[in-house]
Amino acid sequence: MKRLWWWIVGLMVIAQLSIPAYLIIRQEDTLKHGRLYKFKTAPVDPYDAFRGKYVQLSFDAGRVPLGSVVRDYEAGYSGRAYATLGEDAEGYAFVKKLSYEPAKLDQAIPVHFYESWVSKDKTNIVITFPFERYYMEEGKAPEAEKVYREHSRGGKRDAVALVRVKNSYAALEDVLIDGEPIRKIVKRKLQAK
Amino acid sequence: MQDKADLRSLDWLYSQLPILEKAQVITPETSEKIRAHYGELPQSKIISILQIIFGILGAALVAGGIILIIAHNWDDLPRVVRVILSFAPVILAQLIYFFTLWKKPDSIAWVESTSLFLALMIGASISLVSQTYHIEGNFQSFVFTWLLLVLPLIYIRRSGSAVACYIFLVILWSMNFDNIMSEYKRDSWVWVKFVALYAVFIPRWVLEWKEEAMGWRNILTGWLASVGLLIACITVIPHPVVSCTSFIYGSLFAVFYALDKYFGREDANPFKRPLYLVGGLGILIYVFIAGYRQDYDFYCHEFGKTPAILVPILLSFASLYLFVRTWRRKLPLNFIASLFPLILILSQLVGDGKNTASIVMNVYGLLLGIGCVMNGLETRRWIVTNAGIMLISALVLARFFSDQFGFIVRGVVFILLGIGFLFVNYLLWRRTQEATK
Repeated sequence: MKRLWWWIVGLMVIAQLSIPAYLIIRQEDTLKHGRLYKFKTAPVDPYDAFRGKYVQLSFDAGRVPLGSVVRDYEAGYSGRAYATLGEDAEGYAFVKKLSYEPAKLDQAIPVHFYESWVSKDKTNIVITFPFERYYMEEGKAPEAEKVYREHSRGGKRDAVALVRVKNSYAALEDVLIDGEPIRKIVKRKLQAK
Repeated sequence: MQDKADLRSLDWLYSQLPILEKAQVITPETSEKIRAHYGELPQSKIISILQIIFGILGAALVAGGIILIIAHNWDDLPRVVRVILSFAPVILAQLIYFFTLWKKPDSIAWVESTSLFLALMIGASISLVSQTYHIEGNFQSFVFTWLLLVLPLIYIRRSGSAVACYIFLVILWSMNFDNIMSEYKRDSWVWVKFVALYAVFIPRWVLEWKEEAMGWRNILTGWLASVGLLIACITVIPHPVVSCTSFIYGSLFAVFYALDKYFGREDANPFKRPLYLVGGLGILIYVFIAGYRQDYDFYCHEFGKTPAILVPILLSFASLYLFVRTWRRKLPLNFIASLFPLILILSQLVGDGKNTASIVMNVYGLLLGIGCVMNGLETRRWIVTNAGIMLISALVLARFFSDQFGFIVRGVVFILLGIGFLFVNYLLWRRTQEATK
């Protein structure tokens, strides 16, 4: 009986270690072998005490025309859906199709939307993606937002998020401002101060 | 009750026992018998309790400190190093937990503090990895995974802190934002998962009750489980039976009260009987509210439409069954309160937007209030007596103010109710004085 009890303890330990390990393996696999998409983004900065400071991202692709791309949209539905991605002429990602059916293609990722987020003229709906947080050190996140705003004056919007997608799983690789990782820009700016 | 002189003598005696054992004047068995006969010294009990409290506090503070440090990202470290450090909290906590199981399995302070530490470090580890890889994830999924990994801790060793952590996580998980936002299309399976998550820790609770019904673990579990369940019902009740919310709450109050009446200790401090307090107060509040809710939406119309409706029906019948068993065993029971499950089902069946159900509830409420007053006087419990008076007063005042009476008439009624309050409390005081002479 005692031996069985220790076996149970052992299994518990393995289970507790395997969850973080699984997250890491899945993430690394997607970052190494997933298809790359570029999302145009605009950073915002809220505070999350539990998981460190992060830059809240939002994407142009999050505004989805209802009439042309949504299928089987049910009034009153709020929750998970799946977005099939495409690339526009400039190479940026956009949502080709929004559906409730999980698709096993590389381009389909789970998204979230609420009925209340449909535009008043009923032409668009705003969805959220599962990679809208970019974690940074506490002091750097506000600076990152400042960097983007400085960079977006005069109509220049060249902040992009690099996202890898594999088997309906999306992993945020990096956020670039004019081709350079935002972390490097922020670090340089803070060192110059 | 031991006085100070006795305690000093006992302290001296206990200090002599090892010496006497060594000199072979008494055997170790005799020494144990002497200790068992006189019991623990109050100081040593206090020291044990303090050790437990400080152990748990210390573990919680260390865990909290680690989490806060984790919240301060380590951007300059390579990802590989951050990944390795992500495992550090949970591995450290597991090693300490193993040490406790191996070397200090009977130390309450060690078991409680290391269980809580490990439970918190599991969450910290998953969070660290999420932060390192910018995994936003879904908050409910994160909490669900966390609570599943905490679950074994409540069975491996008796740990009140692990149970508390588990219940808290279940309630947190049930606060499903999607379910709150879209009541119209609530996930019909959330309640099934919730019931399963709750059912899983019930055996631990039962074991605890059998082991030490008046112990702090059982009392803490009782408070968290009962209040937590009431909070969680706000979001887990599936859409098809949202109109049966009042029925569900009523049946929960009934079963809490019935469980305590059957299994609980009548002579214990009411605050050590969470099911009694939550269930009893809940019944009184329900009766009061149902007395003036004539609207169709307060009552359940979903009988036969979904299996979820079986839950409040089964709970109501289960509480009736427990009341009958309590009465048969001649345990203390407020007869009128024990009729509540029947009245609840009856009112839900006839609740049709007309006055029938509310009239039934008003009459029952009046009888219940009188029953509580008499029961309280008989058993000399001020809380029961005053609860009865408050229910009667609330019913009278609420019904009274719904009509247009003049100030003088209302003033007279107030005075009469106040005199009633004072008179009943005087009677209670008199009886208590007589009993102590």
